Amino acid sequence: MRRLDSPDRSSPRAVKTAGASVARWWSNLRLFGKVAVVLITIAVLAAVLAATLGEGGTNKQEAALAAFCTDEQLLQTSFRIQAMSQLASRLPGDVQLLEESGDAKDAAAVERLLAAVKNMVTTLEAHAVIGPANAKMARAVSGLPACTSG
Amino acid sequence: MRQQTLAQAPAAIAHPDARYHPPRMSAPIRQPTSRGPTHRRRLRRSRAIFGAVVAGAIAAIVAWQLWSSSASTSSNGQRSTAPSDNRSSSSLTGKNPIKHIIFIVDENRSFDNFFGEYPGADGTTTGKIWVNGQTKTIPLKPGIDVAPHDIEHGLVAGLLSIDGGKMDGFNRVLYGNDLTGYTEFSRSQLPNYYKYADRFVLADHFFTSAFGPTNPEHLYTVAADGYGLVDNFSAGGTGSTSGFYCDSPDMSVEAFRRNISSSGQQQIMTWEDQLGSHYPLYIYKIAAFWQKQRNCFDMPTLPDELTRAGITWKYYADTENIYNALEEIKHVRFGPEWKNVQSPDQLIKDLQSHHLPQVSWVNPPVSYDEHPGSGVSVCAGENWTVQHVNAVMHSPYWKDTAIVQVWDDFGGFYDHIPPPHLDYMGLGPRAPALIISPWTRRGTNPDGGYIDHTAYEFGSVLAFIEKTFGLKPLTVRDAKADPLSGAFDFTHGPDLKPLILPYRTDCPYGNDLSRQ
Repeated sequence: MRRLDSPDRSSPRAVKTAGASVARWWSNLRLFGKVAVVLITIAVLAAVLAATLGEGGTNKQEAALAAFCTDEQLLQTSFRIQAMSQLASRLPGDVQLLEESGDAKDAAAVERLLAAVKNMVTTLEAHAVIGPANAKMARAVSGLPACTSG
Repeated sequence: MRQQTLAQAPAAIAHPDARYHPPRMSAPIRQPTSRGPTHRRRLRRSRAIFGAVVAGAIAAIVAWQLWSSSASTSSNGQRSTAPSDNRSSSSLTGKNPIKHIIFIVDENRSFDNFFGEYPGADGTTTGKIWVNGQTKTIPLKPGIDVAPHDIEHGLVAGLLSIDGGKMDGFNRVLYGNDLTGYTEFSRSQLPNYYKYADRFVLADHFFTSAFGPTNPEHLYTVAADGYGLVDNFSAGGTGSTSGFYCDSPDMSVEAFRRNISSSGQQQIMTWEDQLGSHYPLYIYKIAAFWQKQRNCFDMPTLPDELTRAGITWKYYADTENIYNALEEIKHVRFGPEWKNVQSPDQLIKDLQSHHLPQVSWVNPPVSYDEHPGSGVSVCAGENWTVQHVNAVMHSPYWKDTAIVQVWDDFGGFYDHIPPPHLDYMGLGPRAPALIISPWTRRGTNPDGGYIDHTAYEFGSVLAFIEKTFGLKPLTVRDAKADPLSGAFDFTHGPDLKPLILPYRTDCPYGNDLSRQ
């Protein structure tokens, strides 16, 4: 019986039958049921959109943030001069990407980080006391956008 | 009405998909002309299906939430602030017959990376990653003999990886995004290390002494103290590039100040536990306790104590190398003890000429130290170890020798056991540890070896040396560390049969052991 049934599922007749069933099912629903179906559909669509677009961001903004977050990992190197210099050379590109994506707030935050990193590089190169440069880094990172994954 | 509903239920279960119900599929389509009994049955059935779908969706959401909550709770491993209970009280059983100790320190591996699959050991085949504040579980992939690159493994990377005990941040460290660190070797990839574990002792709770990296970890192997260093040296800048460590006028690194109050230390440890959720801000809160430290300083070392006690020792390590810890101890580098710092190639010559010192530190040459990146092969490193262990077993020293082989830091590789948080320097993630001697404890491993679950750190090896030769501890670390008490049993006779292993020939550079 299944062997005979299966091909019917894709036939026009089956489609017509399914459509009619749905229409019949819908017309037989009470008002409460119809409202529930509509609300559930809206909730599912909203969830899909949220998952796709994140917290209201655009693809361009997401890409700019992703680039910054990759570079930001250089902060883990405990003030190695080479790593800090590398970060200082990459951050201007991140600022530009964020500005182009329309994210002026995060672009400004990364610009403040750039200034702090440059100051740290100068401090390290001079073999000077790192306290003030560290404090400037602390202030700069407190306003950075959150990086949400490794 | 109620009876009818109940009577229909079995039919719905027997035919979960009503489209396949034979009478319906074969019957002509009829539009309902009135709300008769057939129509009401269909209506009830439709509502039942709809209700089941909604209930199923709600159940799935609730189940997912519960699972997430459960996973998060179980992954939030509790970290002790003290070592295991037996550390300070345990001691070696029986009369200690060991007269020679060889401490081999390789590079950059976690326990799970090398022995996570070893039967009976505390390993795992899955790893936890951090994604948007949530912990997710992924399978570990096969180990890579020649790792494509290094993974960041300094103090900050160590803290991020540990993530306050959740052990889920290894994917957040610099160069860790590609999950190279979430890999695990198998027996076929490390056949000889597995053979040593089969016959001798595999310690599966051996923690690195610091969160990382190489420089402070190697200091712990000679001094039970990392001098507060938080990283390897920083080269470049306007300073001189000539010389290394004490021979460089300006090679330097960040280090914790030496006079931090106990309340300050507690504050640092709190921030360390919370760094993962306050990254990167807490780096700079912790860094407020750092200062610039030249890579040349003085502190007491175990070699000093050995010298004073008339016990012979050598430190077999290449000079001008990051892991040569004694090269940055000023009084050793510029004092009479420096003659005991010799090339790793000298070890076999000393064995063959019967000049093995009582205590030996061995840092393999860079081509064989198993460090990720730079084209170094684990397979070749394993051969180098086999070459030297074979040489010991062939020598007259074997009968009273203990070889302890460890890896200096976790290297960015995943490990699932939260390390105890002893102080603001560590402990770091577990490293593999093999203890090879005729006097090791016997167990149920395939060739009579034993898995030792005792919590150790590098200070444990120092404590073992100190107890063997009657020396006092150097710092609180080796004073509190368990002196490898679980690995030895001196109440039984030795198993003197040597385990001579063949070199592997499937390494990238064959079994060549002369590569520089």
